[in-house]
Amino acid sequence: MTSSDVTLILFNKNIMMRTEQKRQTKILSFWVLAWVGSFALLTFGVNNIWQDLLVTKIGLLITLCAGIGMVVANKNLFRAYDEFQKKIHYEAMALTLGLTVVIGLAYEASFDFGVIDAEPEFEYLVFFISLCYMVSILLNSRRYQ
Amino acid sequence: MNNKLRELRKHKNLTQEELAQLIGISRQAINAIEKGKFDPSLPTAFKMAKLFALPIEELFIYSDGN
Repeated sequence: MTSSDVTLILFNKNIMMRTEQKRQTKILSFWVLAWVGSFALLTFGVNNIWQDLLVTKIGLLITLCAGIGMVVANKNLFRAYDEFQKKIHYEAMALTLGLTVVIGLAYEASFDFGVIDAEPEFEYLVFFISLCYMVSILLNSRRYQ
Repeated sequence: MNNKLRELRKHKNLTQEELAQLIGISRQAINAIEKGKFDPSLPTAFKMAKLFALPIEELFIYSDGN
């Protein structure tokens, strides 16, 4: 096998890999939209459109299914990343997990001991995780430039 | 780990983006490898060695930092 044959084989394989990454990104976008949309509709609908508990249960089930679809799509996109992108994400996840546990418990303890008045809410945790993960990815990407 | 990736790539008149496409990793990964900030996996190192038709130990030079 000549050097140009190797080049051609590698090139074809890698075009497929990049196409797969784009495809998985589109699939993830679809599931994120489905989850956010169904969740927004559920939250709005419970108070403004319907009062029936059965409809609320169906709405919850749809939101849950969309959420599971989003998690699976995210996992599939992660598998399509290259080793460098994975490293950046692994480090961001490690940092986010550690900070969430440490800051989250410190916040909870601060409220329990009467140091602060604002009661910890689950929404704060979700916001903190999202922010921490995005900042970690940005910082990691810049660190390796 | 040190490497000769940048000089070999330039010798072949390839941009980082072109090399990234050939190897199947991102351009950012190629940049990080060339700068010695990221060590590639064994399969990626072998792909690079195959592409430049060199033994892997001629492309990557191990140093323990001492």
